[in-house]
Amino acid sequence: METKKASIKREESNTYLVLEVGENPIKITLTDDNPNNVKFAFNLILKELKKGLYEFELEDENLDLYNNICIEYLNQLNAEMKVIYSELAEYELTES
Amino acid sequence: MKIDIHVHTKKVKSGDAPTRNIEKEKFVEILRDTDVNILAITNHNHFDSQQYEEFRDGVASHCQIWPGIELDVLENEKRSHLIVICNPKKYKEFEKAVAKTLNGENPDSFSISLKEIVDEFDALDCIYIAHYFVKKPNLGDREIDMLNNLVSNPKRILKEASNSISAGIYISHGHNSIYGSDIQNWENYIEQSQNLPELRLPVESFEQFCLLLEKDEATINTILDKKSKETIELFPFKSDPFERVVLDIYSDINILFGSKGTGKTDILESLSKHYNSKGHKTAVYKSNENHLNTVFDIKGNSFNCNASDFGFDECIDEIKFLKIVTEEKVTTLNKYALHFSFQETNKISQKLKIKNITQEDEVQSEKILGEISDIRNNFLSFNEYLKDNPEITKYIDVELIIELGLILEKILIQLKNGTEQSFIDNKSIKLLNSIIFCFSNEIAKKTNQPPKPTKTGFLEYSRNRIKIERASKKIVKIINQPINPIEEYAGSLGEKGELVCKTNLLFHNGSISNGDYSPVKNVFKTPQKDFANAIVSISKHIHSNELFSKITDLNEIENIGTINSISDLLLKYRHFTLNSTIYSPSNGESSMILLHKELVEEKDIYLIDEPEKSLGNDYINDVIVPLIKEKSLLSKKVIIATHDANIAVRTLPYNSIYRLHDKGKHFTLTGNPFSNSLNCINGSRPSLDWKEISMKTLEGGKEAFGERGKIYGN
Repeated sequence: METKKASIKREESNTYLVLEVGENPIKITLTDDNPNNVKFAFNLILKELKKGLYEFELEDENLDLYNNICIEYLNQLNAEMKVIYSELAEYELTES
Repeated sequence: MKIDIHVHTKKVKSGDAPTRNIEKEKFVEILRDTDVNILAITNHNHFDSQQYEEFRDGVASHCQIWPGIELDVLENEKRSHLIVICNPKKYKEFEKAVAKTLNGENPDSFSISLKEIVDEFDALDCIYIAHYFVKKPNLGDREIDMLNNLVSNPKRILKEASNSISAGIYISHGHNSIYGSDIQNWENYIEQSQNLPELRLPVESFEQFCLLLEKDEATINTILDKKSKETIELFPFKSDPFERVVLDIYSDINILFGSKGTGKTDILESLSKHYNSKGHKTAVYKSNENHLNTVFDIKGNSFNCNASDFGFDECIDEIKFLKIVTEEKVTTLNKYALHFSFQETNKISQKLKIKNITQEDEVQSEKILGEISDIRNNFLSFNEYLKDNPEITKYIDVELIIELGLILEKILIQLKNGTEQSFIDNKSIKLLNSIIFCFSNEIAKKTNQPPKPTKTGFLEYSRNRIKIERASKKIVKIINQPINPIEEYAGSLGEKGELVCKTNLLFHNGSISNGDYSPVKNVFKTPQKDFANAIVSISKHIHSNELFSKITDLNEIENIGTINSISDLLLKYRHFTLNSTIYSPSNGESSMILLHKELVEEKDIYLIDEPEKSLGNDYINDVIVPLIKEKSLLSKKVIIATHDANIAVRTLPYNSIYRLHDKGKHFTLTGNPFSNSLNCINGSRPSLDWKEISMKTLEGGKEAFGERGKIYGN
């Protein structure tokens, strides 16, 4: 299974979870309640899953609140991606 | 039933082709593949009684073999050929007479006078068939007159023509005529035999044939009576309700003819009522009453079909789902931030680690439980079926059933255990998730700490998109598939070809612009097109944030409520084809086909009024007359009112019913072409000559009589 990099981008106004999916990294805002931002990310994650199962691994040295959030979030997301991949394969929607 | 009165089985004269030689086995084999039921062996100046016996016995089950000879005649210094066919019962005497006549002479140089022939053969109950006119070498009229004066019964003399057309011409000029194969090469006999004269009446013996030559009424009636007939009393005329008509209707061809206005249609209608009252379902077929376009519903107004008829899924659930689907909610990371930013100080809460456990997916375990439960239920039903149907043991060995029962028991135990385990797994997950949710919520209430989100929402979000993708792609795949057209045979247009009613079907896939196509269901084309385009668009936006705006577009289509299944996207285009090309039949062709359709339909009784209307002679002769004859062979009652001699004469009806209007009164006469007479059913008029009346009354009568050479001579 492929592992893709996840990182946290801390800026003054906003902090983002950056997921290395496809050609351009996806940024999910941690400090904003924006479902569309999450849906956009999910669309790309789902599209990428069709190419094969992968999971995200957080690369972050800061042991702050954002680190906690992202560890928890990625744990859940990875588990859900695994289930979805098996369903994609079952319905023959994978690209391989 | 065909007859061949001129057959060679040997090369006798030096000029004879060696291909005239035939061995018994080959002869039997060839005859078996023909419809020839009477055959006369007529070799040149030669009769071989041993070969005659062998051939006769070889085909005895299906063909009569008559003994005969083709003699070289020298009369008035003119050479000609005369066939003499003898009563088969007297073939031994015939052999002796032939031997005496030939007296060992070379067949090439042998010749005999007419007087010598008659002196030698007349006592043997013979038929004489003279080569005539174009059939060379022929007897002239003078020689035939001589023969007429010599023989004891001139009706036993027939003139041999070279083919059916010549025979017809001779007959129409009052000469008794017939023709045979005069076979040159036995390899061609099966094909050649198809053009031989046909015996309409089933002749069972040489004697019966001779009586038919005499037009012996008793013989004719005996043969006719072998076909069943029904005597029907009718009062068919509104103008004279008391005029009684009693008719014999044969299980064969019955022709009703006479001038216009003599009540033929009334008789047909009355016959129809009579048969319907007896429980038959009959109706009088009238030409020109309908057009083919109406009969075949060429506009397709009442045509209906479903996609499932062609093996396609109707996609009812998928269409319904796509109309009502909404976006699944997702969890924003902000919810996690809210939870984690709260300092957990409550000591009990810190100990309750359960709130930190990640929730598990329930859907998979539910799916597994559903699958195994379905399998178990099916096996349980099958097991019940085996137990509840003891008649199974009539068809399957008891040992096998017992064996099956044991295996089923094992399977059911395994499935029961599996179902139990799946149930436990599923309930465990649900319980776990419920506990996590419950504890998180309760802790949140006590501590004011927002609960930790239990899922990101990716699972439901993606499942929803996958379902939309599957549904939309399934529909797109189906609507782009071709459907085999429905072809219904309409009928034959003779040499032009076969007419077929073709229904082309396709699904509207959003790009159909052919105006010939119209919806099969009660749907407009515009919503069909918009629906197909919307589904295609949805299938292309599965991973886009615009997906749900495309679903909104789908729901905003005008009359979207009319499209609920794949069948609602069906389009049809009906037309006729002739030799695979689109064709619009003319009125005449429409009449042809409808009549053909009427005749090919399986019925016991056919009542047909003026089938000749709008039809050409060729079509009547080549298609309709053979079909009518076929019905008669199957002993169907075919009753036809006609003015057309092709039908009234060429079908050689068992029964001709003639309606006559004379001096203000109507008369009904019945008869047939075999007795050549028409007799008044009430005995109030003298009999009439069938041939004369037919020629006078029917359109094309004279020409039609030319064809009657195909029977044994008249």
